[in-house]
Amino acid sequence: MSETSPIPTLLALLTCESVIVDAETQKKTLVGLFDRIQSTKVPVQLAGLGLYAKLVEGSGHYTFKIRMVSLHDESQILEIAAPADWAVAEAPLEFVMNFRGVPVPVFGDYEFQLFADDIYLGRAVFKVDKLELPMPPPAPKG
Amino acid sequence: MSTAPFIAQPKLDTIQSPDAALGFRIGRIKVRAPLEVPGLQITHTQPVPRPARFLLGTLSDQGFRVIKPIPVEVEFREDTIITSWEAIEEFGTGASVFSSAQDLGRTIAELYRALQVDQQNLGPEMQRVWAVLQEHVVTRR
Repeated sequence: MSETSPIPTLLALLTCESVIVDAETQKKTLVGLFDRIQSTKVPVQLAGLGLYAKLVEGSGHYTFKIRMVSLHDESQILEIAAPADWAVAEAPLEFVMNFRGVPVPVFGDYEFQLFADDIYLGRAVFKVDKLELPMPPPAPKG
Repeated sequence: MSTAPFIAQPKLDTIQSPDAALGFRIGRIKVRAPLEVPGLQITHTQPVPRPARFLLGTLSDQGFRVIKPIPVEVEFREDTIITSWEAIEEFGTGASVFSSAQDLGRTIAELYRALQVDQQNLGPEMQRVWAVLQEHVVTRR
């Protein structure tokens, strides 16, 4: 971010199963929005995880950083940095990513954090709960 | 594994009222090649320590916009995390660094509103705090 680049405002940071970007119109479809996942065991890898961010009030060059941390101990699961040019100040900027195989080491809360040039802008929290499967009924005697 | 991030701004002229009868023609659609972002770095890392300080760019209050990053110190006390802005001696608490930062942001917003209402009657110390706030934060109209 240059000296003159303003701090962008985060309007939305959403987690979902997948974000589809239409090749022609560039419209985004968020499939399976969630803030809670259930799993029978950990560690587990998430088959699909999409992240959508919408920002306004920015312009110029930025390096956006996404961090995912476990809120159990705030250990970092992954970090991604990507440069972006915000060409039209009046227009919003959308940031979309799809992940495959994100590791979930323990049950609990996880957080995506968004930074623009190391300035914290916002977060999205989701929970990974233990799924208790119902016990099968006892087999009939005889 | 992850796909490259898709970063885009919608065209300003995407939606227009047509001034002629609607029609269509069949044409070839250009499909973009997979987007490659120069400089993209994806890092799967081992646990890293919680930050001792960071720059805050939001008050988590839609009435305010941060115009200059707020330097925040982080302290860990048993199960509570305390974030503070030393220049105005305000702090927030939470179970994680950024839940604490959210609390700090709301505290700063409350302080801004309180000083704004009473700005004609502020003592020297509160005038200094008010000046620091105005340097970093503006209200939205």
